[in-house]
Amino acid sequence: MKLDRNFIGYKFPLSETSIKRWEIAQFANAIRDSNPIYYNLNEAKKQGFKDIPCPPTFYTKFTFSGDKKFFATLGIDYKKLLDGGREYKYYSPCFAGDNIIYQTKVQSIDEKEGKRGKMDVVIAVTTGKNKETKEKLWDSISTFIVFH
Amino acid sequence: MRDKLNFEEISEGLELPEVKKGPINRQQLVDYASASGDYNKLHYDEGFAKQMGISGCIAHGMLVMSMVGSYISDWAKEGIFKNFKIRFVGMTNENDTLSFTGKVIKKYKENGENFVQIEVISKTQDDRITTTGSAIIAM
Repeated sequence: MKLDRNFIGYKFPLSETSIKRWEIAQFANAIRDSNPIYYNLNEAKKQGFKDIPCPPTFYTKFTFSGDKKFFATLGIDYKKLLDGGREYKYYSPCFAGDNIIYQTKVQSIDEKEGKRGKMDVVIAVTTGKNKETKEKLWDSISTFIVFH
Repeated sequence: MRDKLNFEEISEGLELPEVKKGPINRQQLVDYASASGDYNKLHYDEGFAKQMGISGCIAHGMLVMSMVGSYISDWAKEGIFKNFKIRFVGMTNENDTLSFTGKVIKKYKENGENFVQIEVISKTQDDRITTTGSAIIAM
């Protein structure tokens, strides 16, 4: 099934959160990264950080803003879905204690033809900003493949 | 003082030492589901995976990207990620051990800052490529 093109440009509601030290430690443990800067504030400070820094893929927690029902909203069937890839652009680093806002937008939906037949390629971009300064922190660009 | 990688000593074509990580067991898949908030049962419920036509549980693509991220960070030390992209080209199955390899493909200066671009690949123990990608690091 072809996805509804009216979703191109659709913005999901804005979300906000504060980055917590324990969430960074939990994430670092899950990816089995033993770097002490993710677990110990003194180690992070010794390395010149103001607090515990976010690992580069920590923002995967914030892939979708709003109610996180990205696939349901677009009418995407999990059985026809393939995660194509992810790109992060980093503008400014993020640390435990930072308050952030983030929002997901459907950037494009394009039809392509591959080995498994026709598909829609959906590109979604989530932009994270510092809540107080409004400084842009990162873009997370997700590519999803949805077979017709 | 943070460990430093000497920009002058890095050359295009330089290969990063290979690192193996794993096996990625069920415990890690459950840990990653709760740490990332991605609770797709494909990653920790074998019965569900089989219903989806897959022979067993598979790792989250983002778990593998995260492990690639650690691999690059461990090498780049104080370097700051500017860009990081990964294509998910094959499935990583439960209990796979991944080997990570990388190469510096570009080294350049821009606005007085030093950058290196690295290409990375993750492969399973039976040589299946699961991700390919690249990162730009400010040194």
